[in-house]
Amino acid sequence: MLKQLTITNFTAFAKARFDFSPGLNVVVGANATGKTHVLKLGYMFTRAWPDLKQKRLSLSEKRADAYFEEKLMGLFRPESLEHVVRKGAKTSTRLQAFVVGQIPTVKIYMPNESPPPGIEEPFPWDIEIGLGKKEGASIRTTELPSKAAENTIFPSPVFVPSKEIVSFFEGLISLFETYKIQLDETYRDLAVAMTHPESRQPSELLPQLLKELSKTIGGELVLEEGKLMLRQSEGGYMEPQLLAEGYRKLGMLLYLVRNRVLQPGSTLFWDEPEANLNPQLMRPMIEVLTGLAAQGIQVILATHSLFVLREIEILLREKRYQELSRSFSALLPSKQGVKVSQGTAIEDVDPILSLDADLAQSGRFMEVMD
Amino acid sequence: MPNVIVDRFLFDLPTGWTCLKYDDCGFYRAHFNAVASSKALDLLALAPQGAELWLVEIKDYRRQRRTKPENLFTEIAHKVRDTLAGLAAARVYVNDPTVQVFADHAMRVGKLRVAFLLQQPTHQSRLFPQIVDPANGRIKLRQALRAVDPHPFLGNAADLTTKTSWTVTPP
Repeated sequence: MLKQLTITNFTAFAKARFDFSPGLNVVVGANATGKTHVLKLGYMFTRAWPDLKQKRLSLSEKRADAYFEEKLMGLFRPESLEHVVRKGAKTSTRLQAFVVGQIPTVKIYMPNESPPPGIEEPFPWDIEIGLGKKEGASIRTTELPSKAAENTIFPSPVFVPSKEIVSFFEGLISLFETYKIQLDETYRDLAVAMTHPESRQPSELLPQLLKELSKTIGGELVLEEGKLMLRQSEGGYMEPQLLAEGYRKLGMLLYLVRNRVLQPGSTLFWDEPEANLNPQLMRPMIEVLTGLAAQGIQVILATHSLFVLREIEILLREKRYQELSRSFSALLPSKQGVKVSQGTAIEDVDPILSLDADLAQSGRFMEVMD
Repeated sequence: MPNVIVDRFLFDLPTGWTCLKYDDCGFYRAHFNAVASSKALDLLALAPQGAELWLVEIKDYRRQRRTKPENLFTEIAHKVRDTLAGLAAARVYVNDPTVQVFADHAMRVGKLRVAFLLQQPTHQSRLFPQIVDPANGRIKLRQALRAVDPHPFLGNAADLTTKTSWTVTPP
């Protein structure tokens, strides 16, 4: 779970700090303001520990340096690392994060029970990207969660990019391994996560909402011999390529929850959930995302859509979500770097460019009315 | 039952309410308007026992559309700010006892409410049933005025009649 992210001299950011809530987080901003970059950096830090500890080796700065370099290159796809450094930056690039880990508590639980939540504690990450005169850019990890106990749990995050992957899922992982392709690593990571779900036991989270989602799609996505297939409610299987694009996205969300790819304590980063989704399907999608946030899965969304924002607002006003922690961030480009405005309600942040664009459009309509 | 016509809209307020057409009052016209070209709201309404003060702005997009939708909300925020400043000065303005007493009560209320009465032409287009989508307008109004009233009102005369104890009749 991501608690805080501070970005210094990275891409469009001069200095920006983001505080995330453990519940629902929404990042708004125009194109090229760095919304996706915020999500990708948050994703990189939240999965650093699970990735680095995977091989049960000790955590060292050197290993972390190599990991972050590879991950930054894979996530951002620059031709060389120095391209992520903000142009004209006088000081070095620095990326800092606090990631919340869970220290397990001693409790004996029954096999049908979920493990008890641990004690939560934020742990720091701090990396610097320096520009050498000869060798180009290099990464130095100056702080890592060295104080975290060996058994601290950092559940793996999930990043859902704006383009859906269901239709080209088959072979995607090997494509990444064989060729240098322009898709960033979030696509591969998602495919890998979907191929190796944590458990075969279906999740019991949000049963009613997921049932409705499955009814809308007409079934559920399942993995059959490495292929994603739609198991239809009325029986039989269908290739997901034949599904409408919006349904593929909803199907994937259903799959991620049902197969426990998303677990309480983990973070779901979703870039533009509205992409290729007609407004009628946005309501069920936002309902599931908000429901997940209420079930202990941190949700961080980046969106352009006024419709999505308004659906979120409607849900958050409902009594059942009154206690749900939330945070809104708006990004504004400026010559001094992207500026961030943050608050716990949508009206606390400014600008909401989609709202301003809507009013400007009303003005243009007014001009041609008479 | 006090009633008042403001910008051709008839406001019927229940007994115990008092109101002031601030934009029209002598204090503002002759004096406070000159303070840094201050702006003024159309109507101020005080609830019985000074429980709350309503700051009301009226725009009739059916008749005149001088202000573009994207500028509406900054304009209202300026008017609210300037009107509150005007009231602070009016409460010690002895030349007009009516305005002075109203302002004195207005400055003692426990709650400030903002209402933006936006009357719009209807059936212009299927894609634009109203020029300004009230749901979007409300977010924008809250953004602009959350320090004064976190739940400001935006709607037409019928909506305002539903939301308050007043009866508001459009021209």
